[in-house]
Amino acid sequence: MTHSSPRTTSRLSSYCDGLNRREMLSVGSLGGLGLAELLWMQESFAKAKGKPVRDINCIFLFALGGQPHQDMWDVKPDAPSEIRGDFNPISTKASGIQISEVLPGISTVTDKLAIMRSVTHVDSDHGRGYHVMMTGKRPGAGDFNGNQNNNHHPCLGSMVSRLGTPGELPPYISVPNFLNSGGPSFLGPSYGPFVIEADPAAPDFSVRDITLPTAISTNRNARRQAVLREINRFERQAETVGRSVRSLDTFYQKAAGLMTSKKAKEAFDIHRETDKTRAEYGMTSVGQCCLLSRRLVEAGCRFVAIENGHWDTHRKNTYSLKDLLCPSFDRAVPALLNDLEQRGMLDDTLVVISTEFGRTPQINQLAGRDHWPNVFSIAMAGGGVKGGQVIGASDRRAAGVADRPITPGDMTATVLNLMGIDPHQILHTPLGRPIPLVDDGRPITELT
Amino acid sequence: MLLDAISEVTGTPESFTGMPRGTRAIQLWDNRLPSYFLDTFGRSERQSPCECGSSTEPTMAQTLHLMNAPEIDAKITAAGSRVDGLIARKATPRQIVDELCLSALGRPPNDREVRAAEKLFAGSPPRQAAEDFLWALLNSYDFLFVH
Repeated sequence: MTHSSPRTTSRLSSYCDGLNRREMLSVGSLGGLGLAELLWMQESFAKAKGKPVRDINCIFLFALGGQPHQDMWDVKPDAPSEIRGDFNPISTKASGIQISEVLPGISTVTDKLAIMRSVTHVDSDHGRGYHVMMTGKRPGAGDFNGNQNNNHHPCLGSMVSRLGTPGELPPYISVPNFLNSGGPSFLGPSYGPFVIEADPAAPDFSVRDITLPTAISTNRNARRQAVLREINRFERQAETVGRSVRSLDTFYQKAAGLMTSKKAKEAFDIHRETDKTRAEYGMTSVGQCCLLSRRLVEAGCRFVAIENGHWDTHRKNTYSLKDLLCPSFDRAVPALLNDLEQRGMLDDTLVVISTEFGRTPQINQLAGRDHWPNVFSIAMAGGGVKGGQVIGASDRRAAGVADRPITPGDMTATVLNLMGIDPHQILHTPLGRPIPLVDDGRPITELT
Repeated sequence: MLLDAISEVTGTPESFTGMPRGTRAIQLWDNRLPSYFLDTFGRSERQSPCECGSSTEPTMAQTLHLMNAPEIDAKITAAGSRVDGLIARKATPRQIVDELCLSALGRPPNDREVRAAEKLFAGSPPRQAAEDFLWALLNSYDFLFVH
């Protein structure tokens, strides 16, 4: 054997042209990687290394429940009525791109959006769909629908938290609650989200516990922190200290940082926005979450995850979309994109609209649609994404992929790649087991 | 359990809606009573009889809550609290430190704790120093992980 083994830390390392079949198989997903894509990826990393790196931040809006792709992003006016549904397509700001009439607001910003209509996976269960879309990886066996963290693999936010350059704020924040698949998995609790457990649309919204109790002066707090450091300073050997204690250590530092950072406190204070701006986003949970996300990213947070729901329209699909779900969503998204653009932040802020899966082509007997991961749509904007385009296509019943399948792994690799993080690098679990960040997926090159 | 320990050490019992004052978290028969503390620190969902329903790994929100929450601060400073009682009986700094360590950590203070406390009592009025020392104990590794 004369060829060098491809077992390197990064799958992007250069490969010679002489891989034999077995080696080809042993590198898994790389076997399907075209040379042009490989070169493109290498070039983009070389570029990122060569010039001062511009930090791209991400606002990740997760539409929990499963958005009906055919009623929103991928309308099929020519399909039979039991498939088509009640919504007609409308023309949008981007010529040639039509979306559903239930999204008139978003139709004015399609020039900024890339809509991917051929996303596909095989997990038709909420918990598993959530996991695969937040992490790029299918979870192992087990029940994923409990109301708690279900990560078998780190989510995107935790990857960014671990590998991105930190700012003054926690690098990964989730709002208005913890996202069930938004956990750090083997990366450990230090890379979990800072969770804002409150709805920024509430009149008395504030972020809990980041300010000192009123009677405690800054000096007194400094004295307290000094005593705490003093009594915590026992002789610790790396092996004997559990990772809970180690992560608590980082939390002490971060908490002390947050409590004393004026910038952080101001970023969390949504009441500093004018009523006009707040109204533009809509005084709804998703609207104010989007506005708060912009404030957080502006102040140095790298990744904000928003949970918006509940899109699980098993019954009364038309009514749910038209009267309950789309109005707030359709106001928040264009407000966010326009605001980011006006502030000159859109090129540095990647906005992702994701969901567990799409919904069944056939409308069911409760006038709803059920879970359908076979094909569905997600959208991205900003952060270097070229707007005004549609990537991939579903078939004429919006039931299967007709062109350019996109996997959750592809999507995860894309987001990491855009944020300047090598998606194919390998991290190690505390026991030393090597795990690739994304083991099955490649960046969607058409996006940029 | 941690909430009960904090109530015990500060000498200020927790109030749960609809339950008599002094009810302990472990006595709650209904896991749906509202409590930010229990939500943040993880309570059992009571969906299965195993312990896996509540998370044992710490979070940033927990750290912040213990350090800054008005509720915790109120427990430390309330009238009738442990610190209040010590000050009322004019306990000496050393007696205060002994009792706080004994109640929080179940052992007498070690040298480092005594030195840290001496600095506090030298620089602030006794009540403030006692509150600050108790605050530090409640946020210490020893209290959170060993007890």
